[in-house]
Amino acid sequence: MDSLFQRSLDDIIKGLRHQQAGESAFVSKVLEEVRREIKSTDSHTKSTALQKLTYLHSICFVDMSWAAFHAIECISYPNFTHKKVGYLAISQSFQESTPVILLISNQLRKDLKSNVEVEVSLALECLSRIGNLDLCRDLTPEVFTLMASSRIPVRKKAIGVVLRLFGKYPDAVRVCFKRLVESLESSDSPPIVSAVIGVFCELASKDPKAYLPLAPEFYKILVDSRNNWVLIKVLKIFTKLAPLEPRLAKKIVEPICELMSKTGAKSLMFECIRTILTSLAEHESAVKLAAGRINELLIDEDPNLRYLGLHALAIVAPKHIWAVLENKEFVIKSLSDPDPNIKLESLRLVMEMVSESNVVEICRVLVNYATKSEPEFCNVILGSILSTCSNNVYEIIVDFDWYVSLLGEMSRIQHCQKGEEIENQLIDIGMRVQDVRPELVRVGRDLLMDPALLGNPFLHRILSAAAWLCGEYVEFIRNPVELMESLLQPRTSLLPPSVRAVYLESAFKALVFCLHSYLKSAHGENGEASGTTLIQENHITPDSVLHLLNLIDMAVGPLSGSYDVEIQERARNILGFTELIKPVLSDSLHPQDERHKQQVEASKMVRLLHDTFSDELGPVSMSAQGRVPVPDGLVLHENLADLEAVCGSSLPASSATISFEGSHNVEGATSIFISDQKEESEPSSESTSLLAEHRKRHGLYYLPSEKNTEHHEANNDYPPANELKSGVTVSNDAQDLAKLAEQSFLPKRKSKQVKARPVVVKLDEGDVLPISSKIPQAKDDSLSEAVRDVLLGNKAAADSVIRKKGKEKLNAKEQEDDLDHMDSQSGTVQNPVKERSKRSSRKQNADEGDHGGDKGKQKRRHRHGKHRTREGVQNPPANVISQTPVPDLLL
Amino acid sequence: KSNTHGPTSSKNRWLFLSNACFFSSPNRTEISARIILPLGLPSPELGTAGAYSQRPSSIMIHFVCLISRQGKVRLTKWYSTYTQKERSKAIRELSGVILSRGPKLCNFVDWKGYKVVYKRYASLYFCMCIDDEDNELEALEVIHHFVEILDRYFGSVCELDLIFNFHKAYYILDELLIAGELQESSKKTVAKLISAQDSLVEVAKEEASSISNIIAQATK
Repeated sequence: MDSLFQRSLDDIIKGLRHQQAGESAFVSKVLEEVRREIKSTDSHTKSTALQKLTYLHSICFVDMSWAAFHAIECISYPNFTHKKVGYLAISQSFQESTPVILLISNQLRKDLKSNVEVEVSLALECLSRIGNLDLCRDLTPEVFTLMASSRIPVRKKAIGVVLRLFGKYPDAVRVCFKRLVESLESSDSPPIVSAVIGVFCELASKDPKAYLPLAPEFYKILVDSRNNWVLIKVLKIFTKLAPLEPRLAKKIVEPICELMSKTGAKSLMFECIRTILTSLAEHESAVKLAAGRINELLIDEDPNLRYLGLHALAIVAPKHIWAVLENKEFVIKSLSDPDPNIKLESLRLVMEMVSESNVVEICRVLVNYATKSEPEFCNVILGSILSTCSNNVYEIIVDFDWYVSLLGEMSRIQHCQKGEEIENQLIDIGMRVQDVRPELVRVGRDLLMDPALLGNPFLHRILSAAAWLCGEYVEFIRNPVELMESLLQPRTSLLPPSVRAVYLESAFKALVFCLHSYLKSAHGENGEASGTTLIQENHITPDSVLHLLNLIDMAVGPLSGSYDVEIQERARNILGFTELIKPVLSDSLHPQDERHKQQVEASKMVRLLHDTFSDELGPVSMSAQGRVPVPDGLVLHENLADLEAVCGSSLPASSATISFEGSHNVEGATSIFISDQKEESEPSSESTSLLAEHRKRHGLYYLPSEKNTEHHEANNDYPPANELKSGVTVSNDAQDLAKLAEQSFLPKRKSKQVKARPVVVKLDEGDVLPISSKIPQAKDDSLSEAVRDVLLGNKAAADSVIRKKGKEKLNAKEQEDDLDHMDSQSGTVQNPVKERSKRSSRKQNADEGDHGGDKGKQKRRHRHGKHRTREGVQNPPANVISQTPVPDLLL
Repeated sequence: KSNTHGPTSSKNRWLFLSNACFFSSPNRTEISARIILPLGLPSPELGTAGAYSQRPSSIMIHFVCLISRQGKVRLTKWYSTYTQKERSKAIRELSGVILSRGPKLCNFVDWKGYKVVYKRYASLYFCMCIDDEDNELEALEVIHHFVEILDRYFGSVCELDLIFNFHKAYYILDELLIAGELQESSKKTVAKLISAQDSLVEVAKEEASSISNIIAQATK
């Protein structure tokens, strides 16, 4: 009696439509009903409940995995309506991992064997949607039978399902592949050919090589078919095959060009263009033709065609930039198209056109344009400028002063969110290009000075770079006191701790620099050393030194209690230093008798620090780590062994930039603070043991660069880690762009070497990818292996059906030739595939004899050139078989 | 990733200084903590390479969906594997993107490395997600083909037809596409197959509603 009061699907739909706000309440009420009704023993009630659930599942995305078993029950009902509902529910909701999925294996088999065509269709559709390894393995024989069904719709669907079978259960290839190939030739029924080509198109897109032997069949379809759907698929197949076999490319270029100029269907025309541009780009005349068609697309009113035209230009750009340059105006005009897709595509093309000579001009236009566009597109523009300009170690940049100021300008654009990228580039350039440092410092200083910028979180990364640059290259600063003031201004409290720590460190460097130049100039007055002009420019007076020290007390003092470790420690270091220096310095500021002696001590201290800071930092080779000799007794590989599996061999040696060149300074330091050293040496061994323990537990997280840090914890007079000055710093010393540009032409390994830290991040990502793609890879291999086996396979397996088919296949044109050939082979023809491979060997011979000939006419030539054929036939059979099969189009 | 070359190296140099025992460090464990907190670790994002990237691409159409102008979902069919969560997220994202596009823009949207081809018919958006390399115009034609078949079947189809006959729309789609590939390019054939199904359904219904069956049910 349930069914009398059950709400039908229509009721639910109407109900949902009338709900204004409380939709979810309604849905959960219906779900409650469904949960009750679906348990009914009455098939009608159950299937109606399932139907309602399926509806909610696909429209409102409710979960229906709990009803999996009920769906399976429904497909076993004899009543077709109920069965249909069950199948719909299954194909909508089942996943490969659905636990009960194997229970439907038997029902599917039953329906696949059913006499009712529609039931077979339902089962096939369901299998194509949910088939997993087990289902596909179990049902392969049934599908194989259906592939030869006399009912066209069933056969067509069975062929479609094959794609799923092969994907999940590669061994199905051994069963079904021959039948699939045969279906290619069923020219009597276009739907079948269409379905088969669809399958081959997808198969070939994964592993084109395995399908090369089928090229003649595809070629025949390309020439004969009038069906645009099929032609598009065939073109897709050839796009994959042509790059593998130059002779094939020569063969197909003519019919494709013809198709391209004759067809009225834009989709087909575009596919022809794409095939030519991607796979036949060496054929100049074809590309020219295609470019002509692209021009037509570009001026079309339909935005779809305009978009595709631009897309096609983007494909052709790397090889034939002239095609893009021809349409330069249109491309630039499209930057302001209302359609964001067209805008993006044209931006991509504009970036393709950038070269050394026009980069300044184009970037100016683009930056101007970016300031006017909406935030999202603005950032896309900025991003593409950044990536294009930094490409291959700033290959196209000649004027670095210009580029650096452009970076500064970009930072100030209102919507700019490219802080990280700009930060990386500023620092990268600073380290690579010595000559540009004064300009870099100027740009950095301007950014630091502006208190308004501190409020914009997107700029914090850039400010951090600016602060670091100004600290590191402080000698180029015209007014270091002013720099100190801006580094310690109150609004820096808006910065995140990590950036603030960089600010503090830079302030420290600037302070040391100021004191150093002050003391030096004081010495100069004493006549001990001559003051340089640089110092006089700096105008460091006793007053300004006092001012600085006060400023530090005021601004840094409160930070010594900061919660952030970095800030706290750096602040304490600065304060500690000023504490130390103040007494000795104040004497020198207020001259007394002891002045001279005190000053010497102060200058000793300051010089020590100054020397440490003024060590040159340079980009570090990725392989720098490898050049570090491992000291005896240090076991590095044991705990890191599993890391190697994760990260591969090329690991970043990022933190190896620590400079050890000033090792004599270290000794100086130790001599001054001998007492401290003693204190330190004991706990340091304690901390190493702590470290070792941690490393043992979390070995995976250690980068090899840690080795370094650990080393010099262990012993301080460790040999220099990075021989910056020797090999790696070529780029660093590169004074002019010529050298940089040269570098970009060096072999890849080298150019990678000079790339600094940003690349490290990339590497990590690159290492992750292969792991995730490993599993599908394995599957692909087994699939293509199976295909190869079948296509080129053992002749023993060649059954009579195939043989018969193989003979039928010969069409009138080629009969003369082939019969001739078969006669001489006297019945050795076993299967068309092998036959083909033999022909291919003949073809090779023919080619050897006549390389310069017009290959486009090979077809005709070969047909009339029997003598050559016979020559080839005389090859010993063993040799023929061992030939790698190359498709021969001389059918 | 948070550390860049420059500040990092200066920091390390600083570390070096403090190891050379310049000032006694406030807290010794902090030093070791900083070394262990390494620079640019690959670990945390290892697993988030994205579910979408692992999907095998040997399929032309990954999914089909119909969305009304108000953003209501009218039909969804998934040919690639998506969890229910991914499904609703995908639809949400896409309807946001597609519905906001103006009428005179192109019919393609880049979405997570795929292309979504859509076309609006009256109040309904027909969307199809295809591979980046696939032919967008062909997909548009498939959509149009589908609409024509629906039109022929329902007799000038409108959104209401699809709302109330949602299962029929699925069966029609199933005759058109299989395993994410176009299987039938003839409208006539599809119509024929659908009407064959319908007549079977009619027969089944008659059977179910025959008096003897009702009696059998009632007395069970």
